[in-house]
Amino acid sequence: MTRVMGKTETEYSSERLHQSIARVAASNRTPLGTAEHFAREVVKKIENWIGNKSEITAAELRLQTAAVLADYDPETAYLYENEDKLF
Amino acid sequence: MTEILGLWLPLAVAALVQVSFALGVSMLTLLSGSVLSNKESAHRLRELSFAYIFGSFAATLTGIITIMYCLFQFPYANHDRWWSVLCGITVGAGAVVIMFYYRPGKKTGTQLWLPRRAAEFLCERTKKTTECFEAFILGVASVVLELLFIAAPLIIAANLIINVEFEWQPLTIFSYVFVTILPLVILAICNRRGKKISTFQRWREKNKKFLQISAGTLLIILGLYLFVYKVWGV
Repeated sequence: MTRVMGKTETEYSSERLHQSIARVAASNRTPLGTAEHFAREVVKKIENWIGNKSEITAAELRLQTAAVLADYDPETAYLYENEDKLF
Repeated sequence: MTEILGLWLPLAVAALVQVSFALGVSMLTLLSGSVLSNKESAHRLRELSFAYIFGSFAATLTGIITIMYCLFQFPYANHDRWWSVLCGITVGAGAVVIMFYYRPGKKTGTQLWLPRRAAEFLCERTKKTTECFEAFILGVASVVLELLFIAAPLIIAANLIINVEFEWQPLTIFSYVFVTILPLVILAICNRRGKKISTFQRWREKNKKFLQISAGTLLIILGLYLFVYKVWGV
C-alpha cells in the first residue's frame, strides 16, 4: 500500500489516477478512446515507478505523471501539470 | 481634439487595462475544460460560455451604471480634488498590479493574487458547474472578485462617461463593457472552433509578465496623465 501525501493523506489508487488523466485529456479535446488509451499506458508506467515505495507526495505523483504523459501527448501533459495553477 | 485627449483616449486606456486582467479568462478556461471532460456536447459548452459571459457583462454593466449614478449625486465629480484622489488611487492600483497581480516567484502556471483557499474553492466550484444559472453567477463572481484591481479603471470610466452627451451615454457604456468582455468572447469563439485549452493556457503563461506589467504601467500612466490633464489643466 502506498500513501499519497498531499493536503490530506490518501491511499494511492490507480483507478483514480486513470480517471484524472482521462478527464484532463478529454478536456483538452483528445478523442475519448485515445484519452483512455493514454491513461492506461501512463498508469502502468506510474505503477512501475511507484514500485515498493510506501509513501510519495501528491506533487511528486503529479510531476511524474505529467512527465510520462508528455511522451504520449505533450499538450495534455502540460495541462495536467498546471491544472491547479490556472488562477 | 479636447474630447479625444480628455475623454476618449483615457476611456480607451481604462478599457484596455480592464481587458488585461485574467481571472475571468482563467475561470472560463477551466469551465470549458470541465464541460469537455464531462463528455457534454458542444451545444452545452456554448450555453454555459454564453451564460458566463453574460454574467460578466451584467456585473460590469451594473457596476459602471451604479458608479455613474453615485457620481451624478456627487457634486464634486468634476472637481480637481476628486480627480486628484482618483488619480492617486489609480497610480496606487497600478503599483499593486505590478507587484502582486500574478503570484510572485511562481514561474509556471498563471496563479493570481487570490488567497489559495479561495482559489481552490473557486476552482472546485467552476469544475462542478453544470447549469447556466451557475455559470452566470460565476461570471458575476469573476468581476466582483477582481474589484480590487478593476475599481480604479471602472470609476475613471464612469467619471469620464458622465461627461459624454446624454444621448451618447448608453452607446459609450455598452461599448466600454463590450471591450472589457472581449477576451471572453474570443475565448468562447476559439472553443467553438475546437482550439485546445492548453493552447490558451500556454499563451497566457508565456505572456503573463507582459500583461501584468503593461496593465500596471498603463494604470500608472493613466493616473498621471489624468492628473496633468484634469487637475493641472495642461
